[in-house]
Amino acid sequence: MASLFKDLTKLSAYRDKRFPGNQEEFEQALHTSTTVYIGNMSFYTTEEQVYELFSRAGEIKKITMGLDKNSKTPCGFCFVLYYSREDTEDAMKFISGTILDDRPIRVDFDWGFQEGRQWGRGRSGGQVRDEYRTDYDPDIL
Amino acid sequence: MESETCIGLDVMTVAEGMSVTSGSEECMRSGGRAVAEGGCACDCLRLYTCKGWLLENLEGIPLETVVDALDFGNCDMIRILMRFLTVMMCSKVLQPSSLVVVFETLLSSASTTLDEEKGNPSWQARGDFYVSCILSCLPWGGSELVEVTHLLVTSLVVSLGISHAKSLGLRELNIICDTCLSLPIANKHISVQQVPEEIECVMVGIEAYLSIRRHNSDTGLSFFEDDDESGSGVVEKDFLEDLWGRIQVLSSNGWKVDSVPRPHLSFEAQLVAGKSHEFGPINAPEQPEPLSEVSGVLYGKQKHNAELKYPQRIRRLNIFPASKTEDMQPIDRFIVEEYLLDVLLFLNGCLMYHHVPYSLSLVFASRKECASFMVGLPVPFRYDYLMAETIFSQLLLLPLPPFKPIYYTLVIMDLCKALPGAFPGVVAGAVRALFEKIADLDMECQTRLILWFSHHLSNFQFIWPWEEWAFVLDLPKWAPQRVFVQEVLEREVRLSYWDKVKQLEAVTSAMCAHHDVILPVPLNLSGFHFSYVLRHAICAVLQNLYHLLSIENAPALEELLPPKGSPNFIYSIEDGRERTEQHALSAELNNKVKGRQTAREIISWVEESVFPNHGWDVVLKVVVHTLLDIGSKSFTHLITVLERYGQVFARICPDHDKQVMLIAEVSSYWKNNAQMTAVAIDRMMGYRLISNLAIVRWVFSPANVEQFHTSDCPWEPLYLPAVAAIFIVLATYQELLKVERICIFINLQTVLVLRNAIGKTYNRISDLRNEISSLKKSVVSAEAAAAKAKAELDAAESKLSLVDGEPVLGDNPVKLKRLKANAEKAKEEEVSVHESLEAKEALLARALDENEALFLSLYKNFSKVLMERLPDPSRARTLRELKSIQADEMTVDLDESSVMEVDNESRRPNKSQSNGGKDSNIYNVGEKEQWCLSTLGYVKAFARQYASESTAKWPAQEPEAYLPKTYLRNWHLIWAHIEKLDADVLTENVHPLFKKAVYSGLSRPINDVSSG
Repeated sequence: MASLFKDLTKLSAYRDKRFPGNQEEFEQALHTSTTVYIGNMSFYTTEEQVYELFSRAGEIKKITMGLDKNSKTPCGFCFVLYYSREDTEDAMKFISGTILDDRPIRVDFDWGFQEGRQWGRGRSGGQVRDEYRTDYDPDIL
Repeated sequence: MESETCIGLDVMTVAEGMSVTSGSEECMRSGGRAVAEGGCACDCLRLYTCKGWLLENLEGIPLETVVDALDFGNCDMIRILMRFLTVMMCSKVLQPSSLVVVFETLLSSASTTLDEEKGNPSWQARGDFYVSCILSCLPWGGSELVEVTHLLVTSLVVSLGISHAKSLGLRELNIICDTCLSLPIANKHISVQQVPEEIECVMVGIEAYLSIRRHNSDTGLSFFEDDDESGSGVVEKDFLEDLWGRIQVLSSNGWKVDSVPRPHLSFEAQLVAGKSHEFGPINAPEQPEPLSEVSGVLYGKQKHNAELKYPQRIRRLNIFPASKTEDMQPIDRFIVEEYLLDVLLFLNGCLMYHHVPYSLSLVFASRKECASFMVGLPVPFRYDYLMAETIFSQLLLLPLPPFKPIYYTLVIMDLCKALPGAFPGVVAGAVRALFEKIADLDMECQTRLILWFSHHLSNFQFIWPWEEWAFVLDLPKWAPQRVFVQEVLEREVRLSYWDKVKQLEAVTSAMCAHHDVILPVPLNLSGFHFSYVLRHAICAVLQNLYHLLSIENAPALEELLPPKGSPNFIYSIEDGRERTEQHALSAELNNKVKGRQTAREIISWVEESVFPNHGWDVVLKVVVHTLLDIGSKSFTHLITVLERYGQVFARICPDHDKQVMLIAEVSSYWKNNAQMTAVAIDRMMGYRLISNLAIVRWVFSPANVEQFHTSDCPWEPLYLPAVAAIFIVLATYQELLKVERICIFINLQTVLVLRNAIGKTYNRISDLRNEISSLKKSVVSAEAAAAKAKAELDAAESKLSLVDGEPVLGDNPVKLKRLKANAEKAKEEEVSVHESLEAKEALLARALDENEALFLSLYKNFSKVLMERLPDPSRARTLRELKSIQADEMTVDLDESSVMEVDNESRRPNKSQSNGGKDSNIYNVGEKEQWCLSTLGYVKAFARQYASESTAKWPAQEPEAYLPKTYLRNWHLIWAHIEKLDADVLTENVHPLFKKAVYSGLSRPINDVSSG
């Protein structure tokens, strides 16, 4: 059905290649998921900071920090799992693009955390996107 | 022309969308949104008219939608549909008389509601809502409605004029003719059945309605505490009275209003060529059942229910002086508010596409769209002050804001970005104005303001002219302004960089090696960079702590500034403290956990070897401290420990008494970290290791009670680093030494823990209710299935049994067998669904009992602690009197006053302090009185939370929650407890101020007590 303003049915430009299903199933997962992926975080941001910010959208069930697979240190992303879908949507609508730790973060629906996804998939151990990144954490001094 | 094309394109889209019949609702919403965006619906309509398309399709659509909206009580839908109809009337698509019929229907329904015999006056909120809908249409269509009248009159005059031409001068006649011809509507459109006085009738009807309705005085929901005690006897206008006043002014100005665009005027020619339509009669929804008595609990319940269902859309928050909005007509304020609220409503996406989630790119697009609509309203005056007031009034709206507060945080940020030159200054002005009045601001509003402001600043590099607020250092520790600043700083730190700072320690060590170096940041006029300052200050503090012990004052600092929120692990062996038996036990437990022993194994270890030898107290200490320490590294570690070893806690703390001690132990372990205390308690409640009653009892334990207005013990150390850090820079070094006395803050954290406990209990109840209602449905279907299977089986059996008059197994035993199996299976399912329904119902009954116990215990405890501290009722009948008690005493002994901490000449309080205004920096409420004021504020806030929690947490987002006709039965939980509350807590000897706080939180008139 055509709509006045935007086509809202397309959910995300990003398609996780590890998702074990077809596009339709992927979208279904995104439509019902209560997990958000948070990207472009500072490597120094702690779980407690994430908790403080994201609990303003609703009660959090679980936070999973993304880790560099070599150094086992945070590498700029995490997953937040909420109890309700509504809170998940609100986190995405209201927190995406705002600042956490001086960095504009990206919040998007995620198809659901599974063991193993907390590790960076880049060759260096961090996130793939970091290998293309040119703006490193600005030196604060 | 270009914009027209754009609109045209949009319209094409709508048109296509609407051609799918099922799209009617979306059309209305889109149309509604277009209306919200400043009247471009008119253009849409023009296009429809030209295409001749709308004419065929319009009739059925809005009618059924209006009826649905009325039946379901969907306020936003009703209001927007009404405006849509009005705009259609302006565009000559709808006959004016049809619109008037809609008005009259709603008006008569509203008046009937107020009738004690035919209606139910407790539902006045609904009547008020209908009338406000009518009134709010008038700025959009008033002049058109009246124009019809006017034109008709003119044509009468013309015909009259012609017949009496002789008696009129030529000039007058010319004027009349000119007027007539210049009017845009062609005469042929005025038909005889359009009675011009109809709009007048509506106005008279509204006036009559206003004269019989009760004035709406919801002091429990006002932003400022003092509002209800002004004592001046001037009754402020409520929302509807105010709107009526504005409309009357508008009407006397000939309905001229600049803030409503009238694009249809340019398309008059095309529009009149179309055919305008009649609108079938609509039926107002049924009246609620009449009540037998007009007061008492039942009345209160229904009134409360109606008000939740038909909430007042906005409660004005006057932040700025009237001079900031003076170039507007009275009605302009209302119109701008309507525009803003509609944009906020629609661009949140809640109504438009409720079931379609947003994609990220869309979120950004719609956010931009939202900001650009809000800054670009089609009005010919500056409205950024009004815009700030409107958004803040929503953020602080009581009992609940229409959306989560974080939405408004985002909107304010986006507006600051969209209007970088103007809006940040307006927001800062609002913060300053609210900060001035913070002592009177409702407790719940204070909480929201603190959370908003800290989050807002974290998005703007913490830039704020903090030196403006440096004076709070001189206020007593319990002064609300000081508390506010400290709470904001606390939240800043939580959102900000500790570890990064630590890491930079080495880099900055050279800079921070000496205190003089920390002060290079000029305390300049435009404010300074908070995070820069904070980092340096914290670096310095850390340096002092760890490395620079040679600096003269470091020992004092060390005492003052414990390391960042670190746990207080009493069995730590790192610092070479003496090792006791308990240390050994803790180490043993630690090894067991590391060795991945199960909870069961640990429980048996505790029960067999620890408890018999050391007693329960040691068990509790060792288990809590050791397990929490293992889970102390992060939120996730904590959850993992609780998931794995929660049973251990459950085993050693099975009852309330022990759980209270468990909480006390948890708060002792995390005494340096308020956030982790709250998270740990919250999670333990989530795993049902501690009950909400235990939390209430812990909160009211003597050690905690004293800090309702401050934050002495459990959380004090956390505040210090941040507060000290900022004050190092803010104040001189001498003042820094005073920091050790800054230990007192509103104990927001305790309150949030408590609030969370209440919220969770409600969530559980509502989950259970949902489960039960779906189970009930399954019971019905299972019963039906069982009955059907049984009937089939019976039919088959009877059929077989009739063969040759003898019971024969028949020629189809397979079928019979299958039917039998089916019937048995269906029966089993029915039984099992029944059983689980019973189980859930038992759980619900228990949850409701628990909730009642929680509720009563909360109020008993509040009443008790307040009774002990409030002055005699004869001395403090009102909050104002309570505030002035200390002031009276203090003017006498101010010079010796040790609590005031006045140490330098410039800030010395002026002895003649009641002049207000200039002396606003002086806070002269005593500690005990402030404690009582804060606690009373919380009593009210909790009562309000109770009263509004149960239906929908954020009502605007749950349109499907509006179920027809069941609402009368759907009592809010609090009303189930009211009688008990009256009997057990609000007894005769309860303090009147306490009673007043509870009642005003519940929106119950205080004189209702006896009849209730």
